[in-house]
Amino acid sequence: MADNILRLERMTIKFGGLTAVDDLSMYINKGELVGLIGPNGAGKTTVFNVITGIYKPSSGKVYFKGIDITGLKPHLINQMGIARTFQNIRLFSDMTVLENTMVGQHSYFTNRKALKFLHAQDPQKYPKPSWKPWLFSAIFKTPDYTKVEKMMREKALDLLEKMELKKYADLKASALPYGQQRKLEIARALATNPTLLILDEPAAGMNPQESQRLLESIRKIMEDFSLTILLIEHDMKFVMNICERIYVLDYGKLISHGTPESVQNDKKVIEAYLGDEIYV
Amino acid sequence: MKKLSFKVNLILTIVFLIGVYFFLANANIFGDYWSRIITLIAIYGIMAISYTLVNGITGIFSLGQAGFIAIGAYTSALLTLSIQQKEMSFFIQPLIWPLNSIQIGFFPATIIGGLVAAFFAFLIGYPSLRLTGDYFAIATLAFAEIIRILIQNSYGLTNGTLGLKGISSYTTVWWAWGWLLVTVIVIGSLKFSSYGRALRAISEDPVAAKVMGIDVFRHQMMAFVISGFFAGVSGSLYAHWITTLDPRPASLGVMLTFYVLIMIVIGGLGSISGAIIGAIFFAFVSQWLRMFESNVNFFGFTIPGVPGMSMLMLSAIFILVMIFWRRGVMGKSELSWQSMYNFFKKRVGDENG
Repeated sequence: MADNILRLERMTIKFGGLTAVDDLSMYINKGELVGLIGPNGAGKTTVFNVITGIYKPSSGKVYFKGIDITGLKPHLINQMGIARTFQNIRLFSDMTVLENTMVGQHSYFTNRKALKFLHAQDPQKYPKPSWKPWLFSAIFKTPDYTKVEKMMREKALDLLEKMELKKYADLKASALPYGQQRKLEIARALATNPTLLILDEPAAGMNPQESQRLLESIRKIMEDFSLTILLIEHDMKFVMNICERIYVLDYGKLISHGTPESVQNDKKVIEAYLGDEIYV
Repeated sequence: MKKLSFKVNLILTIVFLIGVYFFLANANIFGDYWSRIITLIAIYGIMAISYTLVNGITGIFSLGQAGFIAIGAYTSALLTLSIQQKEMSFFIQPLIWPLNSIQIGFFPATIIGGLVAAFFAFLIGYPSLRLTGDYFAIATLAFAEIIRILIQNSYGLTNGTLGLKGISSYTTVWWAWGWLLVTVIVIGSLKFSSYGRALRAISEDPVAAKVMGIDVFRHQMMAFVISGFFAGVSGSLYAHWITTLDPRPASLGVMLTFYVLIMIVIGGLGSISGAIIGAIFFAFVSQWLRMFESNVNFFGFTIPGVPGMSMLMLSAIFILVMIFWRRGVMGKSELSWQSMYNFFKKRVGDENG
C-alpha cells in the first residue's frame, strides 16, 4: 500500500445525467508504467482530468503519495508532482519551443517554497531565495533572478536535447510537425519536475517508426527522471509493448485489469472492442 | 539573417533615446498646440500599454480601464488642488475632512493616484476574474460604470457633476514622457521575464497553463493590478494635462475605454511598441479628423461640417483596419532593432534578387 503513488477510490463523475466514469478504483505503484485503454468515449480522458484537477469527481477520492488531492486546484496538483500532456495538443502555439518548455518551469522556480527546498539540497547550484517578492526581482532583473532565468534556460535546453527537439528551440511551437509537437508536450510536462507523468495518447498521429522512437524515449526519460507513467493509447502494439499493467475502461466502468497478456485474452475486453459474438 | 550584437543594440538604443530627448526638448518649436499633442501622445501611450498588459499579454478582455484612469485622475487632482480652489469649487457640499486641508506635490500625488487605482483594480478583479471571456468584459464594464456613477454622485468627495476645475497643469512633456519610459521599462521587463511567459501562456491556453502549475487567477490578478496602477498614473497625468475633470461618459467614461481599445487593437494586441504606435496614430488622427467638424474646402467644393463627424470617420478607419489588417501594426511581436534590420534586409534582398 505504501508504494501506491496514485490511488483512485470509488471515483464517480457525472455530467448531468451522464455517468462518465462509474465507481472506478485503481492504483499505480512507484516506478510503474500503467496503461489505460478502452474504446472511444469510455471516459479515459475524464479520468485524467479528474486526476489533474480540471474536473471535480462527483464522489470518491484521489490520493497522491498518500495525500488526498480530490478537488485541489490544477496548479497545486501540478506542483505536487503530477504533469500531463493533452490528447488534442495544447501547446502555447505563439511562443517558441524553448519558451514553451520554460513556462513549465515557471511555477517551480518562482515558488519560494520550491526554491528554499532546492537551496537546502544544493546551496552552490541554487541561489538562496531572496526576501524580495519574486515579481519585483523579475521586473528589475536582480542578479538572483537572472541566475534563475539562466538555470531555467539551461534546463529547458537540456530537456529539449533529451526529446531531440533542440534544433527547433527558436521556432514557434505551431511551426513544428505534429509528431514533434507531441514530444514538445512531453518536454513541457517534464519541465515541471513531475514524479507522475500522465500521457494522453502520446503516439496518436505518429507513423510506426516515430512511435517506436517515442517508445524508446519514454523508457529513457522514465529511467532518467525516475518517473511513474500513466498513459492512454489507442495503438495496441504500443501499449502492449510498453505497459506493465493495463486498466480497461468501457462506458465508464472498469472491465478488466492486469498484465498485457491477461488483458489481451480477457473475453470482456474483446467484446468491448469488437462487440458481442455474432451467432449466424 | 545576421544577428545584431548586444553592443549594436545598446548603441542604437542610446542614439534613439538621445534623438527623442532632442525632439522633446525642442517640442515647443511646433507651437503650444502641438507640444500639448506630443504630451497627450505619451499619456495615451501609458494608457494603451497598461491596457495591453491585460487585454493583449494576459489575454483577458477587460473593459474597465476608464474606471481606473478616472480614479487615478480624481485622486491625484484632489491631492494637488490648492485649499482655496477646493473651497471655491465645492460649494454644493464641502469636501470631506482630510482632503480639504491637504495639498501635496504632483509626483507623490501621481504615485498615490496609481496606488489607489491599483487597489480598486484588486477589489474589482477579485470577484470578476472568476469569470471568463465576455462575462468578464461585461463585469468590468459595469464596474467602470459604477465608478463613474459614484464619482458623479458623491458631491462631498468629487464635487459630482460639477467636476473639478482649476487643476494646475503640471503635466509637462517631461513628466509625461518620463512616466511613459518608466511604463515601457516596467511592463516590457515584465513581459520578457518568467512572469511574462506565464502571462502569455495564460492568454494562449488557460487550461494548459493551469496544468503546467501556473496559478492562473493570481497571475491574472497581478497583471490586472499592475495595469490598474499605470492606468491610475496615466489618469493623474491626464488630469493635470486637461486641468478640468468631469464624470461625463465621453470624458472619463466608457468612451475612453474604447479609445484606448482602438489604440491597442490598431497597434497590435499584446505588443508594447504597438501600443505606442497606436497611441501616436490615435492622437494624430483624432486631432486631424476634427477639421471635418467644421466646413471643409475640398477642391472648390465645400463639405458642410457636421458635429460628431470625426467620430464617425474614426470608426470607419477602425473598421477598415479590422477588415484588412486584423493583427494590427505589430501583431504580438515587439519593434526591435533586430526586427527592423530583418525587415529592411528582406526588402533590399527582394529588390536585389
